[in-house]
Amino acid sequence: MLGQDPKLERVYGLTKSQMSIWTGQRLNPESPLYNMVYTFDLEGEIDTNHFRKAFKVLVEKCEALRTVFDETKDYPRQIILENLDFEMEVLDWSSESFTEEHLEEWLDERIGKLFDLSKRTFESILIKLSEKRSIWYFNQHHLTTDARASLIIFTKMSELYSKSVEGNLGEVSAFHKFENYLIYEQTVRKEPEHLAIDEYWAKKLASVEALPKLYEQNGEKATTESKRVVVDLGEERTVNLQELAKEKDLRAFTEDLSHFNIFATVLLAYLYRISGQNKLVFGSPVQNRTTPEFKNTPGLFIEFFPFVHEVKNDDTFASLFKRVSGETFEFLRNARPAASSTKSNRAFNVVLNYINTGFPDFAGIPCKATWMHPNNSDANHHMRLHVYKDARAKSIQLFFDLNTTIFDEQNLETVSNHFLKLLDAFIENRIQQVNEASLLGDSEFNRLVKDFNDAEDFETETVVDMFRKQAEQTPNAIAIVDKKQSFSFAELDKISDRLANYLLETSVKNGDRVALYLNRSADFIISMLASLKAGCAYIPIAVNSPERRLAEKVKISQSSIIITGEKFEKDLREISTRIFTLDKVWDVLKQVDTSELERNIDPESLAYIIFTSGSTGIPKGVRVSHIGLGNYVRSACDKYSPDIAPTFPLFTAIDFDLTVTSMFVPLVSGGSIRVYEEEEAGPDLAILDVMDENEVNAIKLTPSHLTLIRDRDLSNSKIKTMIVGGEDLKTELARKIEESFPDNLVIYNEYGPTEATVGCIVHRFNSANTVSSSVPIGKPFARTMVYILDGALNPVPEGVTGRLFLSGISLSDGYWKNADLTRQKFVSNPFAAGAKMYDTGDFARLNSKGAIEYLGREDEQVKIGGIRVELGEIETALANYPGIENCVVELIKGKSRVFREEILNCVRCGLPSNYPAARFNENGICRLCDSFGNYQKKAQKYFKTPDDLKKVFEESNQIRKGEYDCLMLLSGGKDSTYALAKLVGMGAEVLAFTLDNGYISNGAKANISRVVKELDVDHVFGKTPAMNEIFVDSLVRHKNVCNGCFKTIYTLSMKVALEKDIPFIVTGLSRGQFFETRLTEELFWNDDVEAIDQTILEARKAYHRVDDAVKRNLDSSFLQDQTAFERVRFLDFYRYFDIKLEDMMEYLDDKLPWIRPTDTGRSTNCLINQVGIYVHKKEEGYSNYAFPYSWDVRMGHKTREVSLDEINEEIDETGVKKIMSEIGYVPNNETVDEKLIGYYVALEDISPRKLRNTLAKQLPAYMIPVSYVRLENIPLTDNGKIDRKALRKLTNNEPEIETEYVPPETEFEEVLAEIWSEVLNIDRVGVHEDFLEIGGNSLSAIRIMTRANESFQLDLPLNRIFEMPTIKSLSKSVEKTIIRRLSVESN
Amino acid sequence: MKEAIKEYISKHFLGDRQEADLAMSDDILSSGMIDSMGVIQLIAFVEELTQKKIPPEDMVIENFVTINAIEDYINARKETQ
Repeated sequence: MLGQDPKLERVYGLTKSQMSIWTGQRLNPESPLYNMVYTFDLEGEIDTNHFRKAFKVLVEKCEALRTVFDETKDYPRQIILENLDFEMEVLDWSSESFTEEHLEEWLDERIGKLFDLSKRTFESILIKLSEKRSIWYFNQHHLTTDARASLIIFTKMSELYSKSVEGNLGEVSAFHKFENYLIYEQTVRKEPEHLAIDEYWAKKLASVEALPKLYEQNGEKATTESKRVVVDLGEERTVNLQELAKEKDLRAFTEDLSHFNIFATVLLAYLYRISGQNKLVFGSPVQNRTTPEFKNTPGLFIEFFPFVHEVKNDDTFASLFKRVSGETFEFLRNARPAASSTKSNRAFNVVLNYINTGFPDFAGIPCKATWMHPNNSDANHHMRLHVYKDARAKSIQLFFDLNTTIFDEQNLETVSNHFLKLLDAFIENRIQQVNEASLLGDSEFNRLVKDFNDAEDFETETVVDMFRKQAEQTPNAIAIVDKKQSFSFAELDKISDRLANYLLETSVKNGDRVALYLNRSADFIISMLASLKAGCAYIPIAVNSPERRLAEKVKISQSSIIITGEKFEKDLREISTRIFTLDKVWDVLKQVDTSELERNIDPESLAYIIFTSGSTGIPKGVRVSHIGLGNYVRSACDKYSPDIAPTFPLFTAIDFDLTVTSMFVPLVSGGSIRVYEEEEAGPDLAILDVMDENEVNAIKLTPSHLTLIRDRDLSNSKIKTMIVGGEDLKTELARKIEESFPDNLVIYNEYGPTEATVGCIVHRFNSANTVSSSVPIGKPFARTMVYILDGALNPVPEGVTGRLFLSGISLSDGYWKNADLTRQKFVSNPFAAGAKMYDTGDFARLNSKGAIEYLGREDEQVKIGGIRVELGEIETALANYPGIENCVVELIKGKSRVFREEILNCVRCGLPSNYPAARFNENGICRLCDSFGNYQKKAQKYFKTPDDLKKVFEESNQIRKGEYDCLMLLSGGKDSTYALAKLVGMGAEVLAFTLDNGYISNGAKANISRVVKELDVDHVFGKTPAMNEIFVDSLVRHKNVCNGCFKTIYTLSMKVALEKDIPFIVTGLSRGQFFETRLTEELFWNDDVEAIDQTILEARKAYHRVDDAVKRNLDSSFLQDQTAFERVRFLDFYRYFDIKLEDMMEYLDDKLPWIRPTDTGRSTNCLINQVGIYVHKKEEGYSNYAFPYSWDVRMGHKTREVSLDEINEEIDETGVKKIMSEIGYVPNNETVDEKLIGYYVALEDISPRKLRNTLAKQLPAYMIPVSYVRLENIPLTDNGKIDRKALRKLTNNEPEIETEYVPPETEFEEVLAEIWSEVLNIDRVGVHEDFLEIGGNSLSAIRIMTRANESFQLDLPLNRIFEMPTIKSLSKSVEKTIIRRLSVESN
Repeated sequence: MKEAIKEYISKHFLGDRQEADLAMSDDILSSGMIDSMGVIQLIAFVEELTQKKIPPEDMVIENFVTINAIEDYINARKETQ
């Protein structure tokens, strides 16, 4: 097929380079990525006949042109044909009116031509444009050529043409044979020296950490499409470079080597600057033409090797160059033929190709050679830089081949611009630091630094002025409502005027500071306004602050007075500052005359001081002036409530600057404040009250608040405007929230440290447009300047990560009484003379849509619930504890439940010890087995006989309306198949129902169709397009897929049954599953089996109400009809039938055409089940079948050994991951808990409780570590820094990180705590512990609620515990119900 | 020594040119006779010849510009040890 005479063919394997190209082409069969195309523009008369003739001889003389490729048994080979017939095409356009566009169009199309590599690997066309000008178009597949080979062939063609014209064509000598290189490559591979070379590259490859992300693009989905940007360096620059290459420190053996080193240095500098990475790698081809013969052989010789190098942060171009030169030597020394590998070819995404070539005249005719780009290149080469040095040209050209999936059309130029900036910096002054050279061009600089920021200046009013104006406009509108009272704008204005006047008369003077130690209340708002009106700055201090912090704030701020309420006075006993108790002056205030009150407030004066955590252990006070506050509040009003008067809840801590929005925006825009007081103890859960009451239309809150309400049904919420601030907002959370609220909700993501007054960058969330995992923070507020800078304070290009700096009118002027820290954090703004800018310490970048994305922090500052925490502050406090020699505090992200190494299994049932709340007695028997003995007999009453089932059907038959007696849920597995057969055997008319979840195995489907045919029953498949979403939701909620599937089955089958008037749905649940989900000891306390059924029915109703993916996606409106559950009832087949596994299998084998599928693992019907088991094992540590199987064992349906085999089975990870990606499940790390852990070095263990109690005196609750680990030494890295990774590992081996234990207080809480600890088998349960987190499930829910209802004589719904998942909240619910009942009774 | 180097260069880099054309004092670097990769090969050859590694600081033009220079360099290294 390939040649006429096989004997004349020579067959070889592929070289390393050929193999790599072959593979690349196989992966992209439709891409012309390896077309090496040259056009030779011949400015002279060409005789087409001679040209043709010459080319024919060229093919005869050139093996590379006669080489073709094919594949046998997956192995490619090359065949050198003895003859290859080729008539070259000549296009004569000389008679047409030729245009350059015409040629370009032709080239554009032609260049993409694909080769059938088994036939020919080149094409050659002569285009005659006129008598005096022709174009020779020559395209060779890269498999048989490289840059040097192109020159060799061109030179030979030129010679052949000349000789042909002269009539001496026979004189031309043949080429060297490429075959010789093929043989040579085979032999060098076998040389012993090769081992050392391989080892060198293996080491190099191991040192590659990560490929540089070009402008932060990861390139996962890169295609082969690529664009070439050609940059001519120009004569002047080229000369400068040539001169530079002669300088002593830059000189190398050859000019080329010196040039290569310069370009390699600049490329590394460039990659360092745009990726932020120090350790870098690029690939570079080596010629491999090691002998004079090879230098003149056509064919593919080049081979790619990775050039691995590190750029240091303090490198100058010169110092980097010096090390690069050394590296180049090593690189070239080891870049031997055949030393590359698939691995080394994949170890880079950037290529530097230094080409020194020079096409001479063509047979005396002036010729311009152009190497064309086929608009495609290797998908994993995101950027190729070809330094193209034509010996005949006066200037060097740079070709940037840029992958278009990585670089937008608009960014193509950016690459070359940035590279040139650094090249010029090198040429101009190589002793400058690499990170100081400017990267941006003028227009880019203006765009990023000037246009991005709105520096428009105008007079800002103070919040007091704005409030007064508002009070004049809407005097009677309600400004604030709290628990006790409400004030109109006029009233609030008046009373705060009076208080201001009174304060000035009795206690303070203009310019003083006033501490406000008050709870959230109208009193607080009045005091705050009064302080401001008196020309004083207020210092808010929340009433639950630890004593020491309260004292520090008062002392540091040098407050003249503390305004407080009577009930808080007791906290201030130790403080010497004068106390001003509001409750004592209300009466006096009525008499105060305010006519003398000074109305003008100096806008430059201080409005408030808010303290944030300081790493030294002492909180730092941020000074915020009226200008800053006024500007923020005005901007926020314009942005968030341009049209409506917003009602905001005041529910966050008063000393948290986020709260400023909730107070001032309504006060200056005619809205109102609704106050939600803090609890006296325990965590602040006011957010839940805000949602429950549903009285506000705007809210300012943190992502932590959102996680508290994310699972609620908020479809009736009145909130239209949601401003999220304080910490990173994850897109997934924002989407979730958007879904649970009505459609008209607008979410703003606001960014701003206290130092820049609440917020200064904002983004309106748009679900459809958000691709990043976090919601962007957006664009600057008015009169705010935002800069993203590198280490040398240069602006970074779009897409590149830098540090975020803030400047502008809302910027604080520094820290109160802390000039050193102020100088350190507020530096000169290099872009605005005389101005300061604040170094946030946050990383950010500008995305392609012009919005800023927040990317984390550089230091140890962390955020807990949106509040800034310096770990150093906690460490200082911990280190003061007697006996602690050294300590570190870490915020650990991870599951609170830790999996122990050694797992025991109950000796009777096999239940693993890491099953939540599994407890074993001294004989190794689990509690469940132990207590089962006590009610096993009683439980028998629940079970019935086959005759009972028959009776049920017979009775219903009398009144049956529809065609069927029952609907059988047929999964296709063994249990339901057996059940179906038995039902039919009883004479029942059955409709079989199967959910086709998309993952029913073929084997199972075949079983289903055989079985229903054999039994002659009607069968329907249920389906939903939302199945994947349901799987994902189920994996997130329950760490399995079955829960989602079951609920889908119940919902769909109920619908079918209702439509067809089928009175029963029969399930194939096993007896083990009854106990797993519903049967509990409590249910048998009284002998009333009816009540059990009723409870199960209630649980089922509650179950259908849970707002999950099934509820959202499937129509379940028919379930709202209360009679639905009466019209269709559920029967569990195995309640009536009792059968052992082996008997069942025997029956299936003998009586039914049911064959155990081999494609589903342990499950007998479903492929996706494996995913559920995998996720459950991974996230919970044990198989989700561990518990139900333990019941199967207990019931005698399975042996312990079989059960253990199944729950411990290895799972095929590849298959699982494939399905995960199909359904779109991403293992979720965002919902993991974050906990503070204290590590300390001390002689002996210190009780965590003592540590916590001590710290509680100094630090707010959220800053107190929940767990403590004693260490011998604090682990350090090689650099002597704390090895935080090692600490995290340590934590994983430490058992249980507990939620802080808060004991029950009220009687209700005590009773509940007792029930919880009994049911969940936990020694003690704190009132804030989450039911699900500590191992609760539907079964324990039933048990707890049954017991609670019994204890309190109530009939609370069983699912109440899911709504009120802590003892605290549940006891409130109990209390409320009792009070309501009492009041009804007393009426 | 010189002859061995000359032979190596002739064999590997001269191609069609004759060994006789190569003088001990010819500039083998800037004449383009030897390219970058060639220098690396030559250095490896000298290392093999002398059974000594050439330290990076010695890899300068002065030491390799002519066959004479290479010999001088090799001799100088012998003396310093």
